[in-house]
Amino acid sequence: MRLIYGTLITLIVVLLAASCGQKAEPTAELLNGFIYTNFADASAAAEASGKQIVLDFYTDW
Amino acid sequence: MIFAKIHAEQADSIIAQRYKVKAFPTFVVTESNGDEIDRIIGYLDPEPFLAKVNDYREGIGTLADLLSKAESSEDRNLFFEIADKYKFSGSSDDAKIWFQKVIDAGDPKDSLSAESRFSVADMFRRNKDYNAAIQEFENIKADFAAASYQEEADIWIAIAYRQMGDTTASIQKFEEFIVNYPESEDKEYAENQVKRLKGEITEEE
Repeated sequence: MRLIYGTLITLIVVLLAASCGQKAEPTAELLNGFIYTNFADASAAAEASGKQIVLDFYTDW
Repeated sequence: MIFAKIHAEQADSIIAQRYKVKAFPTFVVTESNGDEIDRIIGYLDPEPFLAKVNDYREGIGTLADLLSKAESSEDRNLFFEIADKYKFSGSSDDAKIWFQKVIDAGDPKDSLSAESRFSVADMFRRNKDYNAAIQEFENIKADFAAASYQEEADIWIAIAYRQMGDTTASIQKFEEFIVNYPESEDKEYAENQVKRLKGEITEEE
């Protein structure tokens, strides 16, 4: 079950990164597999963990 | 390390404004409290991207690091790098000071000086001070005779007129560009701009 869950998370990360035009490799390596999609959640996670943040600003055009 | 993809024009547009993001993509590396360490403009391949992020996390190549190095240096490329960092972090006044240092520390007519002048004009344009941008592009044309500089300045003048809403002047400048630079790789772009400004094609075409 844990293996399936882990595989699913990895797949979602890769799909999300690819769909946004961002290369998956650096993001996956940086985060060990998770991408936040809004500032509030990322900021809260960073404050709680003391980790630094990479904010990837993009637009649709 | 936390990674977040932030859409700059939707729910988090205020965050993009807070970090003065003016180009896309922009990657802002911050401390856990959100204080900016430095930023990367444009896409990099995975390896150099990670290397740069990790350098920034260790304080290497950051604005503070470059400013410290510049205290005992006359390296114009270093000055240019500092100016560029100020430019893309929204600190236009500081950027102008450092672009001017690039010019003052060398030949005001060499390529690095030209690049600095173009960067200052581009800052005016990005800040929507279109008259100042056009004036500076005209000044560059007067000071740098090389065809490549004339061509670059002319296309930006046409774009600046379009952005300021002066359709007549913009059409005229794009048409002049097409005539004056028939071999330019921007010729097709200029032709499309003329058609769009005259209403002959729509945005989507």
